[in-house]
Amino acid sequence: MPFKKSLICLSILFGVSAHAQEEVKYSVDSVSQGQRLFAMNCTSCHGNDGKATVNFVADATNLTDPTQWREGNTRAHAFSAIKGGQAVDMPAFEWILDSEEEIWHLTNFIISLWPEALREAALAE
Amino acid sequence: MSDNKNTPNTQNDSPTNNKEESQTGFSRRKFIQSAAVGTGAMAMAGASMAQPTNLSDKYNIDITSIGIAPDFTTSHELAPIASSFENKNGMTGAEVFAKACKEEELAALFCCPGNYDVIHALAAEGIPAYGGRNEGQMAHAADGFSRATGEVAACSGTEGPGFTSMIMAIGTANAAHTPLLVLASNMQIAGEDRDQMIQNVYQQPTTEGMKKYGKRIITPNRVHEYAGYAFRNLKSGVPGPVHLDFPSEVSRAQFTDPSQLTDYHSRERYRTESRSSASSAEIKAVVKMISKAERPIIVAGQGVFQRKAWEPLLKIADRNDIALVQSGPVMGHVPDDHRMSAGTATGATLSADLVIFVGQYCMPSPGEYAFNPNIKTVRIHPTQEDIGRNWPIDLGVVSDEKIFLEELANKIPRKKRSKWVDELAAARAKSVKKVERGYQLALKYSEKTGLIHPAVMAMEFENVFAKGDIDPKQTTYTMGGYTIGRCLSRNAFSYRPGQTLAVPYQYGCIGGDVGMAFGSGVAVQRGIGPQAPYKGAPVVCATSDAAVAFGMFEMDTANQYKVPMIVIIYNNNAWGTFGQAHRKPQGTHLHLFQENLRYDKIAEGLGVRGEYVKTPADLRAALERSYKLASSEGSSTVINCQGMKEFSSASAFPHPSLAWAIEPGRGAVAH
Repeated sequence: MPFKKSLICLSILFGVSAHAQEEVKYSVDSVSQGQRLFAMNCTSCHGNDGKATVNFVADATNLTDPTQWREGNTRAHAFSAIKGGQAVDMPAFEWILDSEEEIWHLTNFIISLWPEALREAALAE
Repeated sequence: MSDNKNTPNTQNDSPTNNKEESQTGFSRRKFIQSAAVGTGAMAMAGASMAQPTNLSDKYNIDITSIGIAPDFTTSHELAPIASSFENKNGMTGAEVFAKACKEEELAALFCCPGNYDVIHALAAEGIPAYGGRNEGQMAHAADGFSRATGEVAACSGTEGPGFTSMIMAIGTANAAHTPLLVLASNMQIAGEDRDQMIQNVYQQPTTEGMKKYGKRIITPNRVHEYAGYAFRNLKSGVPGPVHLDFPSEVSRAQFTDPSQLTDYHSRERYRTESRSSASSAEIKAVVKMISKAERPIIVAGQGVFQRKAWEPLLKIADRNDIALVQSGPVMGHVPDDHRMSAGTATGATLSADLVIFVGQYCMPSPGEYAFNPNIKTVRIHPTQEDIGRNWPIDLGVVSDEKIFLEELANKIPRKKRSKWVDELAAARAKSVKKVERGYQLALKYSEKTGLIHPAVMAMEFENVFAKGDIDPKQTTYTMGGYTIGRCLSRNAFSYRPGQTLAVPYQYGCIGGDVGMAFGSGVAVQRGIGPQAPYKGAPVVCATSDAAVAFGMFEMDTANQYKVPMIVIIYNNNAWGTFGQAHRKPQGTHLHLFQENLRYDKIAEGLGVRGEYVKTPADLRAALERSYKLASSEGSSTVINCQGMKEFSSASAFPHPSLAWAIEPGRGAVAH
């Protein structure tokens, strides 16, 4: 998509993208930080519990049930969707959060909402 | 064109029209002229009697006959006549009610025809009255007037359809806890259950859940008594709409002596100004909790504005370095530029260790505000029964907001919290940087597409009204829309009480924008309450193409009452919701409009200026030009700001403005 290419250029030019950061491992501390970020950024569409039952938003994803996710349900998919946005209404949080580290914290918090078996499988990958 | 310096040639943006005229020799002006001849002497006589507003000629609007009727001006300027039991036929029930409203200093009535006995009696009694094009918009106008002033305002409509037309506005006012007096005529008592004539509906069940108090008055001699019920509810505790409906047996009843009426007392005898207050032990307990805290924050809710309690609030913050954030449907009682403001200090709120909610009427649950889950909580509220609802408390205090804040301001010791002050300042600076970053990205999108990204519109709005030559405190704003609303939430500054009205607050209403802006414009025109220093200034309404369709005809109303308004429409050819059909594309068409609609031309047809802009530079110039003309000549303008729906697509044009504002703080619409 031509605009995607321009965006990459823009990111380089203006330094507006989140700072590149190595993956942050799943941990209690990271989940806790992710929870804070979730409270600030995500609840209006995904709800306090992540189940996306907020009625006025039709297209938000139920974050607690990755089996419903259409674009994949690995940890990497979750990270990518948060970072780059998805579909029409899911914003790209690389433009909102301060760093990739924060995106990883948010990813880890969302993984923490998954059923135990799916979470363990995702973390084992 | 008579004023080329200040006025854009709107025809430049309409090549189709010019082409049509050049090819066919036919124009709308010629059509109207020929039609006027054809419609005969009556139409011509009517046109010649009309007083031109001069706007159509001045701004080269291609319609020749727009004018304000002489009857309008004559009627509007007539002196009030006080009704009296001494008059030949005494007073009607409607006049008794109107007199009570006058004694209660009802600040304004916004209505459409219907409920004639009551609205005519109110106008004759000297209540400033405004007639518009749609009852719903007029009810929004009353809400807007009240939000801008903190005063009680009334709306009215005819029994069935006029009343139900007001429903969305009543719901909006109820969610915003506006002291709105809803009036409507209703089927005569003798006609109940008989399907008599037309417009029959049972009103009170319809407003169930949307009002603080309501009554179908069925006993004529109790009309004054129920006026007392109405104002007791409107002016006490937590405000909310009061709905009275008037069968004709009530409004047309005749009374020749006060003794014929029940409870015919003056307002000092049927209600009190006494309010609940905190005990000294409670004040001490609050002071103690503040002293123990390292990062205290006060959420100054709507009650702080309603009770005009901003001065002690700011004094408390200054004395003890307590952070402030405001909430509610009207913003400005915590100025964005205050050194303790956390309105744009997103994230800093998470490190607060004590929150004091004062006058927070729409109460969030933990998680809906960006606070630490373990934060200590104090809640100050005028009524006991709401304290502890949704958000667990460590201390609850039943008190009027103003009395509490004045008492706390007297008792709170001085304290410096430099770390907290620095943290807030750093968070605010970070927020500014983020908004600027988003603006730069949006500018690139605009340059690439030749259309205006909503974040660009939002920033130009701030550039002109907050950072330009205009006093940043001067302009009162009404903010609505979905796409543009989310963008404006980053730029919707407020520096003084009653400056910014959030139309969708809590209820999420789309469509009340123009009506509400008109109401705020009336408040500014008359310089009521916090609007006094800015009396006569133009007001600004930022809205969307979806929302404006509900209320655009009220530009006619604004023009008639000479309320200068600048309405900026973000035109993206769609409901902002169009992306919601992403997973069911068969439903996408349900969200779309015809593309590139010319709302500016519609505006011209309504007798106000129209501007059509597609670039950031043109938008800024149009804003400055429109404001100048609104200030100097009282003219209103509709600016059609052309964007496209794809700017709302996260995958096509990723942008931070697609995310909802973090609450509490600037741009909050939920609580």
